[in-house]
Amino acid sequence: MESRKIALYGIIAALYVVLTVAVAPLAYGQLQFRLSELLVPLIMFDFGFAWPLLIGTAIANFFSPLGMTDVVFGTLGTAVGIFSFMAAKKVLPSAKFWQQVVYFLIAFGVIGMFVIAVELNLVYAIPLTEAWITVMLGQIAVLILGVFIIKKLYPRLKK
Amino acid sequence: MKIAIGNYIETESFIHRLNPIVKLTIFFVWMITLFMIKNLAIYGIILVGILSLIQLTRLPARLIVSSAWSLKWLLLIMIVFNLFFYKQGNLLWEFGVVQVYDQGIYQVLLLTVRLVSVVMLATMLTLTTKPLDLTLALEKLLSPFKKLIPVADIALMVSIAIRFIPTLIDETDKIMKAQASRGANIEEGPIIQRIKHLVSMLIPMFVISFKRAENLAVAMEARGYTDAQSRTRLTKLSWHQRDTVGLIIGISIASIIVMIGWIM
Repeated sequence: MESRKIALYGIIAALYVVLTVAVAPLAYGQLQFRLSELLVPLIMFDFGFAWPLLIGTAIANFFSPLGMTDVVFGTLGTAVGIFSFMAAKKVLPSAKFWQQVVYFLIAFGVIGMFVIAVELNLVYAIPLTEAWITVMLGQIAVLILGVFIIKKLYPRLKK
Repeated sequence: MKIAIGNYIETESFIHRLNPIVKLTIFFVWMITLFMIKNLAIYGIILVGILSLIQLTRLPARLIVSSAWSLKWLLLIMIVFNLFFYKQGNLLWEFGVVQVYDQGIYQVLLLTVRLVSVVMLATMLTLTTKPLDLTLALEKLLSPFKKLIPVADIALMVSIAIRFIPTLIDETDKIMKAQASRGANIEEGPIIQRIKHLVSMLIPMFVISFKRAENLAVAMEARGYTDAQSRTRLTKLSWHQRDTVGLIIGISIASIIVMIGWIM
């Protein structure tokens, strides 16, 4: 990998951690509002951003009250989201932007969050569907906001 | 904004000197064990074990216990949820729609002890292991997947991320204050307003991150950085006899606990 990319991905991972910690008590647990998830739409523009997202989630979750358990499940959730999104883009390549947004929301908001719901179910014994719906709602709200911000911002920063 | 990154504390204990690979492996094994146990009596033994482990690390016990205290709100939600919605066993208490069952209380106790144990173990891991050593251990544990994922590149990204977290926290703090002084406060006001203010904080954060990355890349190239695969390391993890012993003891404890759980 070229050094330019390594540097950028490393710093974006740091930014993810900082944005998570900025709203720390809200970012972990059942009702989640993770500011840092605003960065996730970056992956719509460059698949390479999968790395900083994975690294960012792993480091940020170290500070979660659950520690390693969150590191494993959180990172797994992000990984599942990334794979589902990549798969969707591959199977249905000639999609318009709004269609991509739909794949993206389903991949990260619905499928990825299932992993988190399983974790909450195992750890807090919260019923699976309820856990899934609550984390999904918070996540999708942040992701939609993120898509708007990143779409405006990213093409300018790339220059 | 306060954050204790890799709040590592040096106390020269046996646990500190263990190879981080051993610590990480044992940690994962114990974590799985904890989720397999469904008997409160065994958790009693486990808690005693964890407390004696704290003694072994020579860390101030208050520090580790207080990490469990940080769970209080999550625990409260969990307790309310399980106490009132778990409807198995004998009915103990009824007040309108609220019913408390003895199995519900057992469930709450079990989950509380499990959570507290997990948190104390995780805190012990980060207090006794330097963040960069943990990165190194992860890199080693991931090295069988070298063909599939760029392990060395990822390790470098992790190091860069850890290095830049404090810098970016400072920047965020400055930007938040600067924007607040212009009237964009993200902590108060109606939600739509706060989201708008949030964007005014995020944009400079993005720009700063991209600029920093650019500078860093130039610095790396100026120092002749080529690729991570062929790099050597200043510090290497070495494997001693104590690591073999530690690994065997750690895994044996987990297997014994699982066996007791089976019998009981």
